[in-house]
Amino acid sequence: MKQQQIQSLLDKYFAGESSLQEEAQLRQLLQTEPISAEHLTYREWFQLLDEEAELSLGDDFDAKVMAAIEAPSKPKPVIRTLSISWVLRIAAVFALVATGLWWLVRSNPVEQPIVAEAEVKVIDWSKYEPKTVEEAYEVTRKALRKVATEFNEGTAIATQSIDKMGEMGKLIK
Amino acid sequence: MKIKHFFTLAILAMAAVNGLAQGTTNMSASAIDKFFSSYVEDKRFNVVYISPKLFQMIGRIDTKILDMEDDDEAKAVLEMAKDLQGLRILTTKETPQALYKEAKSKINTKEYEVLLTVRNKEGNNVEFLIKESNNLIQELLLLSSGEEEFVLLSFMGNFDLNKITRLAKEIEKK
Repeated sequence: MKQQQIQSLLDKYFAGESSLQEEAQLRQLLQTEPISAEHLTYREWFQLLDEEAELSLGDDFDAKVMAAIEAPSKPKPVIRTLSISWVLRIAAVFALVATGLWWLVRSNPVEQPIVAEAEVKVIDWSKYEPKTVEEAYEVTRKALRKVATEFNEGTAIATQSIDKMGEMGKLIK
Repeated sequence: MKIKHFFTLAILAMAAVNGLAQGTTNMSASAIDKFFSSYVEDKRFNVVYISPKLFQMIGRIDTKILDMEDDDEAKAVLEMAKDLQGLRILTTKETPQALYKEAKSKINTKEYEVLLTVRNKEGNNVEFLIKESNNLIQELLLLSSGEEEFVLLSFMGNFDLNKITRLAKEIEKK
């Protein structure tokens, strides 16, 4: 009789037509009544369901979940620092630039006469030479005369200035 | 600093200093040569050049032929000409004062030393500049400007100031 009742309840349970009361009654019958080998599988099935139902989350579950959720919202600030190798690289570039500049400054005085010679060569001075030696002598004579005259005048003015200073010195005395 | 920016800065710094160095080169030794070269083809200027060869030939002039035996000034000139190796002359009557200033601004003071500066009451300016090597005058520059004329003389060779003084005395005698 009980076996038939159990079978009937099982049929309704798997058909999804059993009420909560009938389900509870089925569990009760499977646990307490002697059952056939055929229904033994269902007893174990319902026991497993009960054990699973008893499993619960720990008290710290919520805290762990919240911590996991909140973690991405607080990213650690990214601090970029120059490593020693970068400092060395920058120092090496500075050294290269400094060497380059030094070389430029050093090499320029050497280049100057070359530039000067090149520029002098561009002028064809022969076009401006006097045709005769006598003419060249006259030009030289006039040029040296001007130098001598101006030199004389310059020294004369300097002498006059010194004499004036001497006279002023006498007046002060 | 990103390394890319650093390299950009480094290149800019190099370019700037290179430009500076080029500028310095332009202002250096060849300043007078540049001054000559910029005006030598200018029709407003009179240009004369006495080459070392011509100076050699002047030194061999027979004073008897030119009737200079009793001319002490001529003798002093010939004595000086023996030591000279070149003479460049640039003269013009156009804007003498402006050219005087320009020439002065172009002279490299590291190379040329001022020997004498004269400015008389008429406003005429004269400046003697020398280039020395081993205590010997290798080049003498005369810059002169008055109301009428600008003159630039460049004597190359060994220049003896004592001989100039002697020549000046001979001129005074006349």
